[in-house]
Amino acid sequence: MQTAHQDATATHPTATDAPTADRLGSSDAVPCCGALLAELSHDLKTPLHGILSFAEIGLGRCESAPPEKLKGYFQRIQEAGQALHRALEDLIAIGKLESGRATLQPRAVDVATLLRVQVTEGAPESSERSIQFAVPSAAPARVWADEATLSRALLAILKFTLRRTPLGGAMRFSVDSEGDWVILRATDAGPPMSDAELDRLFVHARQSGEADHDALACLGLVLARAAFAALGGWVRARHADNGGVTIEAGLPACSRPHPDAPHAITAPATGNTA
Amino acid sequence: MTTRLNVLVVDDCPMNTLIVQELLEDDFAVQIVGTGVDALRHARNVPPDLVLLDVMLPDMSGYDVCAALRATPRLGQVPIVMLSGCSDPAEIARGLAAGATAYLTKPFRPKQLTSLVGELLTKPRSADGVETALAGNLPGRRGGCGGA
Repeated sequence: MQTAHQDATATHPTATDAPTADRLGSSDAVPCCGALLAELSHDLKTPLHGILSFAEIGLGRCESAPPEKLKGYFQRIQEAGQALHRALEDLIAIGKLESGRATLQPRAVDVATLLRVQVTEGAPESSERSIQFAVPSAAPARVWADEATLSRALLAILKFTLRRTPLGGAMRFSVDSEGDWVILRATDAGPPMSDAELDRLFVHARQSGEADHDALACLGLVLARAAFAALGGWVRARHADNGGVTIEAGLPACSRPHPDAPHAITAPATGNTA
Repeated sequence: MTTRLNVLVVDDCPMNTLIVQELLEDDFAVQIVGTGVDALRHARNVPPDLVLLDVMLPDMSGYDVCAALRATPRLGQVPIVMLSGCSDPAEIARGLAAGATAYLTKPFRPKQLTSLVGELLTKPRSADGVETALAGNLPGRRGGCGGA
């Protein structure tokens, strides 16, 4: 996929000391809907493949396989169906966020608390890795955000970090207040990525026509980019000191009442906010 | 008791490995690894009779794994079937150029996989071990479930 990328770090308020290899998940990198769909073969085809395969296997063996075996096929079909459902929900959410049609209910939210909830409830497999949290204990790092949308974006980042961290490896999370921003950083223990691969993380599904093997991005990161942009923030990827990748995201700190709170607001299109 | 043939499955996606395992484990000894590095290590230690290789792996490209397997003397003749959700002709050509024997696009039908594996494991190989005839027929051999 050919996508024009522009490194917008030079204009970002918190990026003055950022390495040049930082990659911003900004609206510059937003692909058109058709291009995005074309990139999503893995996210959509894998569960579809599961449904079709186990349905056909089950049909072929329904008179010979023991009930427990058949039950297993149905469970696989259900799991794959749920995965496909999640992928479609993510696609719909991306479409709503990027078109400005998502209805957001902003309120003061502690990012660290929300992240911990996602670690324990949204991604219980995290327990198979070592997790290091570095969060301020005295003053919560609060932002104005729609909790459901932010939770979804945090889970997407967590899943990406989790996926790249081998069993027994360490994931590092930090939440800091930096000026008017709250910054979340999630660092994995995966292999290094090239600048080009970082460039494409937020626009590139795992299995593209170009088939870059390290483009481990998934629909989730595309969603995260759209969500942070809709919440007035940003997300980007950078090389980590440990050789892995750090996903870094910023949201405006909750230092003063949100002008639109507590009323519902409609997310602006990402092109105006990222 | 006859020794079962070894099929090495290289894929980090549990759903994909479950499908392959379900289809092949009654007839073959199925070994599953999730990374390219593990695939190369495993294949060099226990040369498989056939490799099912996903294109997208967390640590390296399936194409690179394929080429590395082909460059290993004892593994040069092993049939390698690449499995991918991408049906782009350029990607298929890339897989064949890397040394793949066949390229199956997902979603494929169970029978397509079992037939292909059975055929590859019973087909006599040419003297140099290269499945040239088979590779030449590959466009018609793709999973080809309607644009999959």
